[in-house]
Amino acid sequence: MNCRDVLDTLEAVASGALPSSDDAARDAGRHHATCPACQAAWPNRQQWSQQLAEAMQDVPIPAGLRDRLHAACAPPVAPAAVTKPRRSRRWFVGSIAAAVLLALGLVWWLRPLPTVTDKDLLAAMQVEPSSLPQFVGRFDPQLPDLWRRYYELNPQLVRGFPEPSHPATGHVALVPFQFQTLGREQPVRGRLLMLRRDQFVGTALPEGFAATTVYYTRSGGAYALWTEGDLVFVCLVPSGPADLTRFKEFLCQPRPLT
Amino acid sequence: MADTASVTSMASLIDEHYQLVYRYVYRLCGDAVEAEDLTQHTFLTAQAKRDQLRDAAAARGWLCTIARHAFLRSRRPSQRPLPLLDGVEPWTEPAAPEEIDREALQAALDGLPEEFRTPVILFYFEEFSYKDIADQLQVPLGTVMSRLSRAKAHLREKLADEPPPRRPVAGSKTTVG
Repeated sequence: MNCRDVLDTLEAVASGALPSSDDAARDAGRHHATCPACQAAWPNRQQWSQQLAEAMQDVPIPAGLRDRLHAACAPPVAPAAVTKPRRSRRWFVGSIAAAVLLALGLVWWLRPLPTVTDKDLLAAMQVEPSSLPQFVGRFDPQLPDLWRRYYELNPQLVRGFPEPSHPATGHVALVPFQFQTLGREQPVRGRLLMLRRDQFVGTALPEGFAATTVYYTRSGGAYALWTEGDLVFVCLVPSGPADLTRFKEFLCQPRPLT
Repeated sequence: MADTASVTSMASLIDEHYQLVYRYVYRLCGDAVEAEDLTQHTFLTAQAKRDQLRDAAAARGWLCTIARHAFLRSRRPSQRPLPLLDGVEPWTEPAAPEEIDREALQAALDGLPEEFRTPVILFYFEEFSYKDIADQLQVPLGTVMSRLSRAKAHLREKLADEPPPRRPVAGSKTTVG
C-alpha cells in the first residue's frame, strides 16, 4: 500500500464508504501513524474531499420538476371524471346549437328529391362523360356478380353524381363503363345511368331486368331501361341496337336481383 | 386499495428522491434538458417496475441503477481511450482550492470515461459506500477502489488552482512503508 492508496482509504473511511473495521482501513491507519508524508498530505486530501462533495451536489433543480414528474407518473384519469357535465352557460349554448343542427338535419333529410324525367334521361345519355365533374362519394352500385364477366367498372370513371353541377345529370350517376363479352366478341362500350326509383317521374318503369325497355337514339345508338329493386338503370350503347341486343342477351342470363 | 397504495408509494418515491436522481444524471450527462428527460424516464421506469423494489431503504440505489442504465442507453459506447493519470502517476497532490466552480467540475467530469465518472459521482455525491458502488457497477470492490483513485486524481489535477509540483513529495512514487 503506497501513500496514495493510504489517503484514498482514509478518505473512504472518513466518508463512510469503507468501515473502519475493514482490514484495509486498519492497514491505512497504521501506515498513516508512522508516515510523515501521509500525515502532511492528509489535511489537504480532507479539504479536497469536502470541496468535491459540496461542488458535486451544487446542481440547481429546475423549477416545477417535481410537479412534472408527478404528472408524468399520475394514473390516467377516468374520462367520466373529466367530462362530468356542469350546468353552465356553456352547456346551455351547446344545447341550443345541437337543437339547431338537429332541425337543419331534419330539413335536409326531408327535402324533396330532384326528379328525373324521360327527357332528363335522354339528355344525360347524350352528355359526354368527360365533361361531367368527377364523382365524389362512395360508389357501390351492387351489380350482380354474374355481370362481372361482362363489364369492367372503374369507380374512377364514375361522373355526375352527386355533384349537381350539370343541368342534365347533376342528381344522377352517369357511369361510363365498358362491358366485355366473352370469347370472340369485341368489347362493347356503353354508359350506365343510375338513379333512385322515387326520383323518376317519367313513363311507367319496367319491373325487373327481364322487362327491359329499349330506346333508340337519333345518333344510331340505343339504350335500355330497367329496374333493380329501388334503383333504376339506364344503359346506353352508342354503337347501336345490335350491340345493345347482344349485350342484353348476356345480361339476360339467370342472375340474382340486388 | 392496492392501486392507491402503489400510487402513494410512487408519489413518495418522487418526493424523496427526485433531487438525487436529477443531480446524479445531470452530473453524468452535463446537460439540464437531457437530465430532466432522464429523470422522468427513470421514474416512469421505476413505476413500471415498482414490484422489483421490496425494500424502501434500497430505493436510492435502485433509482440510481435505473438512471444510469437510462443514461447509458442514451449514449453510444465510448471509444475514447482513458486519458487518466498520465501526469499524476508520481504521487503529487495539488493544494485544494478554496472553492470548486460548478461548471469547472462538470467539465472535469465530462473528461472522464463513464466507468470512472459514475463511481466518483456516487462517492462524493451521495456518499455511496464502496460496496454500494460495486453493486451499482457490478464490478469487484478492488475495481471500484482503483477507478475511484484514478478518477479522484484526475479531478484534483483538473480542478487545482495551481498545477501540482513537478517534484514528487516524500516517498516518491514507490511504495512507502
